[in-house]
Amino acid sequence: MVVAGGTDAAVLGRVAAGDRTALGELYAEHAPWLVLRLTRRCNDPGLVDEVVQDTFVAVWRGAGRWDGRGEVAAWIWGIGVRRLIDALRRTPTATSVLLPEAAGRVASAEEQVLLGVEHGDLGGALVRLSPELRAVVQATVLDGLTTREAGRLLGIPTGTVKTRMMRAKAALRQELA
Amino acid sequence: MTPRTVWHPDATALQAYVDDEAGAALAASTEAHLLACHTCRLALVPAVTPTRLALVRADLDDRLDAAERPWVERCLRRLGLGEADARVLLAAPSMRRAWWLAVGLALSLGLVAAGQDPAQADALLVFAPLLPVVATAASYAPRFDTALALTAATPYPTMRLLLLRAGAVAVASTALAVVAASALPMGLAGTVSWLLPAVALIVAVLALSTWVDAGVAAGICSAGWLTAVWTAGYGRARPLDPLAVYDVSGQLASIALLGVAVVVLVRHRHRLDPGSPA
Repeated sequence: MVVAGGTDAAVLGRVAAGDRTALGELYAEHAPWLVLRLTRRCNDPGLVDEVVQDTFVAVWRGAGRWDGRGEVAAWIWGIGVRRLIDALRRTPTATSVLLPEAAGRVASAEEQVLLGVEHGDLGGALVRLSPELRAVVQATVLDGLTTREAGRLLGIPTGTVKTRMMRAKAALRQELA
Repeated sequence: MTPRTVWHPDATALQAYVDDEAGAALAASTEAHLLACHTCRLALVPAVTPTRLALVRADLDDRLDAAERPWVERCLRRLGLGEADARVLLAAPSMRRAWWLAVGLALSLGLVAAGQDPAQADALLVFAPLLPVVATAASYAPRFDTALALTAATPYPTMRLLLLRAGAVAVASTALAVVAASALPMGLAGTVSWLLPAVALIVAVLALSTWVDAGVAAGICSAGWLTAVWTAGYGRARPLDPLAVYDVSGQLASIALLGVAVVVLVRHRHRLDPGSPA
């Protein structure tokens, strides 16, 4: 199923029009990476499956609300990670969020930043951050969560997220200076 | 989407990401890249077992199917009714808008007539128990039942099917008749006194239809009811008092009829099988 570039939006348009086949196409391409990415944040496969399912139900119902800006995949991830937070809140004991080993992701919308992460000093600086600080950077910057949502995902108070984010920024500034 | 980057994670890097062995920086880059790169997303598809994806997909389809059912069916499901039962109930004629319109219109016309002449109001009340009777018979009589071929071929308990569908129609038509009757200047007694005879007649039709066609059964019961009205009415007063049948002895007779009909229906339920000639 090789689709030409730029068709994600078209497929989503068909989903919005109530086309279940289109939802199937979207699922075939986007469910796998979503499963993998969620698995790095939650080590309960059953819960991940549930979240993926919730996400595509939300995509089906909310396809018409996609504003057409940015990547469809980013929109799907935004739904998915928030569903994960909701699911973790419902079953706080059944799952644990992978923090230190999966941490250290960074903002990446711009290509320079992306390349910098992989090849430049920023990547090294991130790796040298303490796991708690990296987890906060990951949740807020890479996963695009608000301070409050990040707190829920990581199981820490909102205030702690803010202070750790400030410490992370200070540390990065020092490293890259 | 068209990748806007010159950088792609190679096969080794993707595999490391899948195995959770990628370093923090590589994992971050890969995840960000996946949001924008159609090719790399497809490359990751084999990393999740097809069985897992198919199972999640099946559950997803079930949920979307369930959400697409009419709200009445969703309400019935929430009340604890099984999926098959809810579907069967919804196939009953009383679940059609046309049915409600037709019955509602007929009753309204009756009410208009009753408003102009008290004698007509009496007549409406006399005929009130016959409305659910006829509607119920029509809901499963072979000659009216559009779903007959389907139900005959479906492995579903016949008795259950019959009671569900007849029940749906009986409840709906009785509710409509109650609304209509309450508009009459008869007070509470006038509104509810015909309910017991109506229920008894409905069950009697079901019981009778273990021997004869449901339409014929409805005819017999209707005739029996009108005879009872006539007999009771002339026993008391002249001219005819059409509502005499609703007195205490009439209600007791209804209870007796109900009891007999229930026993007959339960004993002969196998004969109601839509696949076999009545």
